[in-house]
Amino acid sequence: MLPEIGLNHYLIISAILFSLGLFGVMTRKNAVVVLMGVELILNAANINLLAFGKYNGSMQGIMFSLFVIVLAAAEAAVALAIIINIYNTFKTVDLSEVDTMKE
Amino acid sequence: MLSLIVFLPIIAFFLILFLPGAQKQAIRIISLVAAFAQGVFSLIIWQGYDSTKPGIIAGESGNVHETFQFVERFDWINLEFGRFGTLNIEYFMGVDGLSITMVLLTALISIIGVISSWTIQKQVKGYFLLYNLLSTAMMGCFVALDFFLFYVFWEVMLLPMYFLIGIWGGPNREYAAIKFFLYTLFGSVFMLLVLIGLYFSVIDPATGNHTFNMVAMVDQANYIPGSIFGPENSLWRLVAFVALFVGFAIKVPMFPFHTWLPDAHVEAPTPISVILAGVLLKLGTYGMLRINFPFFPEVFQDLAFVIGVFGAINIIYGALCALAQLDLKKMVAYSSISHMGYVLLGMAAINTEGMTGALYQMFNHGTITAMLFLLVGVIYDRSHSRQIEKFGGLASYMPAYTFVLTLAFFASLGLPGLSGFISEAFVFVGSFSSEVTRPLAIVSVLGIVFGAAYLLWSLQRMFLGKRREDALYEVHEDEHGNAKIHFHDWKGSNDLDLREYLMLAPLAIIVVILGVYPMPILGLMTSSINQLVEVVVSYTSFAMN
Amino acid sequence: MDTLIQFSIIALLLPLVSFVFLIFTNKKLPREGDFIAAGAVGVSLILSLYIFFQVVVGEYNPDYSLTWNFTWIDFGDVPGVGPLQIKMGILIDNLTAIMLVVVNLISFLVHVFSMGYMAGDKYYGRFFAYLGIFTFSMLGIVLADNLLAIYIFWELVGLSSYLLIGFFFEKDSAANAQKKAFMTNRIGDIGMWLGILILYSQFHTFGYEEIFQGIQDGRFTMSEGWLTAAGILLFCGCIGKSAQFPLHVWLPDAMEGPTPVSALIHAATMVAAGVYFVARIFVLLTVDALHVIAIIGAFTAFMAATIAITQHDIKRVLAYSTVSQLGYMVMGLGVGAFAPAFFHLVTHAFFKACLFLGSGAVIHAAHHEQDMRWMGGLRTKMPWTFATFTIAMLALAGLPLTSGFMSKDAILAGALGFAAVEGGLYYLIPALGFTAALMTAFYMGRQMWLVFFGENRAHLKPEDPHDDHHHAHDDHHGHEVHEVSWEMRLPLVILAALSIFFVYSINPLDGAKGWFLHVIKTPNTVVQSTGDYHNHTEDHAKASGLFIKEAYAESKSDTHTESHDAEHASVFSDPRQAAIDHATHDAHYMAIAFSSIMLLFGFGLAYVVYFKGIIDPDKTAEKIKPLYLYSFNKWYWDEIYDATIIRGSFMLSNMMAWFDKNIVDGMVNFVGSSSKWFAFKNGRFDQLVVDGAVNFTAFIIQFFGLVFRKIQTGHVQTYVALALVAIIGYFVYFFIG
Repeated sequence: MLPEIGLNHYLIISAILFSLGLFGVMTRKNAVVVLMGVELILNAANINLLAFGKYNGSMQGIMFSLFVIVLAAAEAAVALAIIINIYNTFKTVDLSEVDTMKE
Repeated sequence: MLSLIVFLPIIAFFLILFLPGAQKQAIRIISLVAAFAQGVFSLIIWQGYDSTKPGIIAGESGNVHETFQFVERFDWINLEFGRFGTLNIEYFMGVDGLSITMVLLTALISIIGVISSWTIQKQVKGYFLLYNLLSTAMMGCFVALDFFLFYVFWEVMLLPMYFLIGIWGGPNREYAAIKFFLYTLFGSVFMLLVLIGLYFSVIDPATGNHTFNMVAMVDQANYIPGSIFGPENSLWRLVAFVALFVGFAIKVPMFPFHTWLPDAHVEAPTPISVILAGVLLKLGTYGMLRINFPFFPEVFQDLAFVIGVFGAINIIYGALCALAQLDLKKMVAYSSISHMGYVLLGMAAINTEGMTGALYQMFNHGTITAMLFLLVGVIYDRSHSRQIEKFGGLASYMPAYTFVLTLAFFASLGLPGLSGFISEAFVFVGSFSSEVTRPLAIVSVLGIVFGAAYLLWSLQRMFLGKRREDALYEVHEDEHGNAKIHFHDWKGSNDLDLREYLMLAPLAIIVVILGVYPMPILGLMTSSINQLVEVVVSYTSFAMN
Repeated sequence: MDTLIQFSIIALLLPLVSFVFLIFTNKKLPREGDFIAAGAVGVSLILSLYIFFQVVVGEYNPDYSLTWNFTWIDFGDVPGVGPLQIKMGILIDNLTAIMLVVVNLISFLVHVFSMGYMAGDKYYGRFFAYLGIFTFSMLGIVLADNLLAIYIFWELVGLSSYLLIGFFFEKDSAANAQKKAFMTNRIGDIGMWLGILILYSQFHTFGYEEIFQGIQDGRFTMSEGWLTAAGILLFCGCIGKSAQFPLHVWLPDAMEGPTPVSALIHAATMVAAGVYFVARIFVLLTVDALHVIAIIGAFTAFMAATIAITQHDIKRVLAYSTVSQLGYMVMGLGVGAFAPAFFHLVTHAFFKACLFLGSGAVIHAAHHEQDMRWMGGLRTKMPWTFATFTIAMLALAGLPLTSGFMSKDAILAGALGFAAVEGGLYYLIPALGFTAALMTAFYMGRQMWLVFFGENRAHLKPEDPHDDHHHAHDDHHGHEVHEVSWEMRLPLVILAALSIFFVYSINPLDGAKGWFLHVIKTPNTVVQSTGDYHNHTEDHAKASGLFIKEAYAESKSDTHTESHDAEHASVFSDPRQAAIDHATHDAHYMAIAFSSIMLLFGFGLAYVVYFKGIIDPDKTAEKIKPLYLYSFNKWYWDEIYDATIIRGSFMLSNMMAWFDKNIVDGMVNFVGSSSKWFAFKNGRFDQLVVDGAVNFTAFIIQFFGLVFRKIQTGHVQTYVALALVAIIGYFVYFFIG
């Protein structure tokens, strides 16, 4: 029988989600996909917060994750704007082409 | 009040800074207003000046600065240096009989200079910025009573002068500018060293700290025994005196440090020549009177003869060199050297007549030589030449110009009734009365003859007789049969125009008035001079004790 | 303030006001303002006459004097001296009162004369303005009560003379002459100035009275020689202004000025200022100084007379005659004939002004012809001019019944008396004086006959293509010579009248009986040690010392001298002066006799040569050619000065300028370029070692930089990876390490 879902399960899910997100951020060339990776990382963190909140019995985790969601929305909006500008500047969203930071 | 006088041009400086460069007329007017305001405030100071107060007082420390007038005194820089004590630099200004005459002169010459600068067309904004800076620095030098403050003004003066000659000058301007700059910088290095030495040697009796206060430096009791310029350290005191003297002598300029002057004058634009001769040269002799002589009175007594010798050399050598010049402006420059020699000779006499003559000569030389340079500028504007040999017979065609120039020439050669005579006369009276400089006075009277020679000779060559074959002007007759003069590509009035009258007339009037009744200026200085003489002669050196 | 003082100040300032006013407005006024100038001087003359009658006639006292002064410069409490003020003031005594009238009268007459003479000139108004400043300066000299004031006006007179000589400034000769006059005067002036300085350095005052008092009280602390030097140096001023040898060269050249100016300045007043000044300071002159003065005066009188004999220009003859007569006056002062010398100054002023104005009339009438060789026969055409000229000429030559006779004779008598006292070679002084008198008579006779008698020789004149002036007046050549207008005639008549004896004394043979020599008396010397001085020199075995001593002893016993002493009830009795006065009195008739002989001989010679033509002057000149040329070329003084002093000065000046440009400035540039060289060398060292070290450090850093910059790709993902590595590293370190 399946064991009762406990804290560890949440954390494992969260870790997998985080790793996927990080992988996406680090390996994808398309900026939009990188952004999606960032979203995954954020949601991994959300899961962590909610899980700890549930097993700790306090409301702080829920409140915090609500903020993160709002922030994520805002971040997405800003990030998309940046990407659009990157596109406008470099005529591409391929991050390997965008290396002007080295100068 | 003094701060206002000193920093008015700085206000103008900032106003001009924020004006666009194309607003030439506004820039000129702002400068003129600043100079005029400076003049008005100087007159107010002159009115309020109590000529019975002597300034420095012999052998008395403590509240000596109360004998100065219009004193402004604040702590300026106060730095703790731990073991080395505190660095005390004061913002200390005041006037006495020595400086008030120079303040008046500076204000006057500044106004004349602005009027004369009206025709400057090249980079007007930059020109007037520098001009105002220069004006502040000059004025500051004359009223500063803190040696450090004095030094700051002294150095600030250099830079604008360098650029004013180097940018707005004649064909060989860069050479002249750099020569002027290096020479003067060379002098001020010495001054800086002595300045530091003096700081560590002198204690302000009021606070017990080391001080740059020049009034405290006059009282030999404030010198710390055993310090570098302490009373018994006669060798270092001698070195300090000579170093300071050389620094000031370069500015005077004294033979053999004079060669920057003719070059600088010939290359400088007219208003800058006027300032240079009218005010800057006076700073050298003023520095001697204010700093050199009262600080080291016993050295001064010992070296008076040597100083007098240099004065006599200046007088005769300058006059002889002037006689040989073919360039009118160079001749006037050498005449400056000759006339500043009178100042040196008068000071070397160490008596009231001589020193008064010297200080009065500083004032008069300022006005007279300013006139001469302006007049040279007038003919240069018209003919683009200053060669004495290239004219002849101008008196027939430019009567007003000839009249003013003759007046200036005769003032310069010391004709009684014009101010130059009184100062020269008392320089001779003083130097002859002193047994030390008597032989020098006897030799130097030859300067009167040579002075008359070069002035009259150039007057004759340029103005009398008939037009020369190769003259730089044409004469033709108008419909009434009157001879009219014509300068190549000169559109303006042939004789003096209104602007030229405006700058020459005040000077001419002052020269005449002060020649007939000198007391308005001379009366200001006598009590200070008496005190200065007292300071010098009453001090007996440590060795003598 | 006394009325006299007030009047004298007004009289002094009026001409100045006229000058200042006219110099700015002359072109805008009717007649260019000549009436203003003449009016100012006229009022001034009236005031002077008032002062004259108050002082000379009213007081009739040789010792009368009136002073007034004010503080001009206040030096405050001067260390070592005490309160020190420089005062300016006015001194009115008999000398002043007489001089005021002389100056103003001649000035006024010259103004009137000039209205005719200068009419139509381009700068007519300016001329009258200049006359104003001259009159002002001259009155200043006369009225000054101190040495500084007299020096001031002295120089101003120099200025006015400069302006007036160079009035025709478009002529190069005039421009040269004005410069020469000013420069020569300046040389004399520096001597005078040094003399003033000597006196000031002792007494800290310029006032005559204070200085005289100081010397009398023995407060002159320098050695006796300095006092002599002071006297001689002050006399240098007179040498310059009164055109004495060796500074006489400017006066003849000064004839380039308009003729009225020659009359006013270079004959009557300015040149007399020197003599007036020596008279003012007479009391402080030591015996040695007086000897120098006498010798210079006598030599000048002689030398100028020899030159005057051969000159052709009518004005130059008069100019040299002026120099010669001034020599007489100076000699008179030197020999102690104080009053006669001053007397001669006054009489000479009138008759010489008359002669000059007369010559001006001749020149004007002869259409600017100045050469006497081309004149002649003007006697009938210009009777007024002829008559007045003759009277003045006779006065100059010293004919009895004229004023010149009285004054000149008194001077010569004084010279004889002086020689009698001093003895030995000093007899040369009267000898030179009498020789000069002879020559005076000769050259004046020559001028007279050449100009006024015989046939008119104007047509004999060779055409000179270089003479612009001549060409300008070509159209006048056909015109007849005619008498001048009344405004030019009137001054001549007045001046001629003043050249006759009765103005000064009833007795035509002895001026001493007249009012003039009553109010002017030789003042007593203040040089305290005169007596001691001679005792002293006796010790030094001076040849004349013993003789003088005897003369003093002799004079003491003489009744005449005693009465003389009694007349001068003053602190000092000066035995030397008394001896001279006594000897002079004795020599009086001898002098009359001698000078009459000389006069007759001189006139006779001139008559024989130039009127009768018995001796041909040209042939005689040819016979003694060297002498003639020596005289004609004015003893070559101009050439000598030009070759020595003037060329020397210019050479020195060029040398100095060269020295300045090449040596002094060369040194500066050398210092400049050597520092540049040093800086360059220094720069190499800097580059290799100092800069090398810096560059090496930079190189190392650059190397590492090159390595590390590889990491910096600019890709966001690289950075994220690096951050991840860092975090992992941190965790590893934290949990394991």
